[in-house]
Amino acid sequence: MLNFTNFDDPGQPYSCTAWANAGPYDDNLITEDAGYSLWSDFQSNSGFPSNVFIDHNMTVFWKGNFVSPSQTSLKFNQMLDACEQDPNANCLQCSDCDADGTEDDNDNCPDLYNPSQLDSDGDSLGDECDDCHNLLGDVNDDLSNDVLDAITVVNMILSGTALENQFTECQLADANMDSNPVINIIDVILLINLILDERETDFSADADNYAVIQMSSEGSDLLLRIESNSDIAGVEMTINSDKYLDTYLKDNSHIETLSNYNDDALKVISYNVFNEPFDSHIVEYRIADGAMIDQDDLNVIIGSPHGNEFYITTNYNGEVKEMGPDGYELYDPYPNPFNPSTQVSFSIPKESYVSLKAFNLIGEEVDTIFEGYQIKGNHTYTWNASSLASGVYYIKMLSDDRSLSTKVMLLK
Amino acid sequence: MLNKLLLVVMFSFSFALYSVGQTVSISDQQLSLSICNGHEPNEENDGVMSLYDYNGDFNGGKYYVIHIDMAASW
Repeated sequence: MLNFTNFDDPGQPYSCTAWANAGPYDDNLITEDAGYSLWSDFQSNSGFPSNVFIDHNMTVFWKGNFVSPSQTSLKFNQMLDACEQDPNANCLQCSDCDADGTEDDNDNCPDLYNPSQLDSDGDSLGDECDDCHNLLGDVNDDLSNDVLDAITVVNMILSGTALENQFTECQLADANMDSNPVINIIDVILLINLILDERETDFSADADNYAVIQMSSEGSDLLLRIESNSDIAGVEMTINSDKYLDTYLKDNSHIETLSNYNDDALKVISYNVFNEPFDSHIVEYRIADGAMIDQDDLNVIIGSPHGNEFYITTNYNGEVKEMGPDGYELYDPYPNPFNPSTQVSFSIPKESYVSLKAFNLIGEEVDTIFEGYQIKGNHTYTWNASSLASGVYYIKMLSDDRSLSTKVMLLK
Repeated sequence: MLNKLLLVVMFSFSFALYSVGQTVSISDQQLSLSICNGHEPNEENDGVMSLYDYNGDFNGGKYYVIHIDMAASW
């Protein structure tokens, strides 16, 4: 924004030099036009004062003789609005807007419009000014998916209930790889797959995974023996306890086991940064001084190399208990809006027939995302809508007479 | 053969009086004005300014909107 006073009659008592010595004049730039050239170009009714407003395209926006401060403000705002609508312009309302002593693209950030910057997520905020790039898996917002993001997600899980205090909403959204509201070991596995780009996420590839956890005590220790029917890539345990407990994973030297105690809960995560599976389908943990832990104190999530969650039962002295969701849930798809695919997650409390279909706004079925029997637990499917037109669609889940729906927007 | 060549050259000096909606020509943007007081927002410090300096098409992409109050010094 440039606001200046031009004196076009230098022969009058006050010269340019005299005005220069007069001190600030409403903070305006004061110039002298000895040849009346500027005045000849822009005067109004051959009278003084003459005012002219010129927009960012060097086009005369308004001319007149008298303009009040409120009219001036209004015209500036109108011109700035027009400038902001111009994708080829880069409107500066101040030279060093962020007051960091340097004029650069970051000075646009207060305006929330940065057309000269790359806008990776297309949200009209230039990357340099955008504090959330909305790139799935890019938890540290550096516009790439790498091991640092995976480590951050692991730290999120380990931080437990302190999660929302330590991480931003943007980080939590980017870390949520499977769209269900919980960030867990499944998200870590899916993120590592994304980073490695070696294993396509195929949520139906190993949907029938199940595992049995045999719990037993040995002296003051608790032993957990996980027997699965297929490869395991990650284990997450939450143990309610009034103290920190050392946890040891037997064998599996390539698997890293991390733990953290917070808010009366011990979080334990075992995974490999390359998603290499555990040595065998039998995985054993020893939890020192954990003999007092019972089934109700233990929650375990197990993920396959494809990022599919295992159906788990625990067995402690012959008492069998199922782990997993207690109710029917259809979670908000992610991403949303999307193009051309999005992930749809749901949970069911028991093995059931599930119908997951997409409908357009007038109720016509446009696609079947999944239909068939599914085991108890959380399940995620990718819906590819590349053959459909942009618009709003409803995803409807039917299972055991329960009907749930959610809305998505396809933007091509 | 006699070849006649008639060359007519017309010189025209005129000042443009811009109306609303007209774009200021580059040559008119390049008109230099002496600075009496204040500092240019583009941080130039050469004692003169021109509208051209504030044309984003030529200054590296920094666009401005401008208000000029033309007055006499009486």
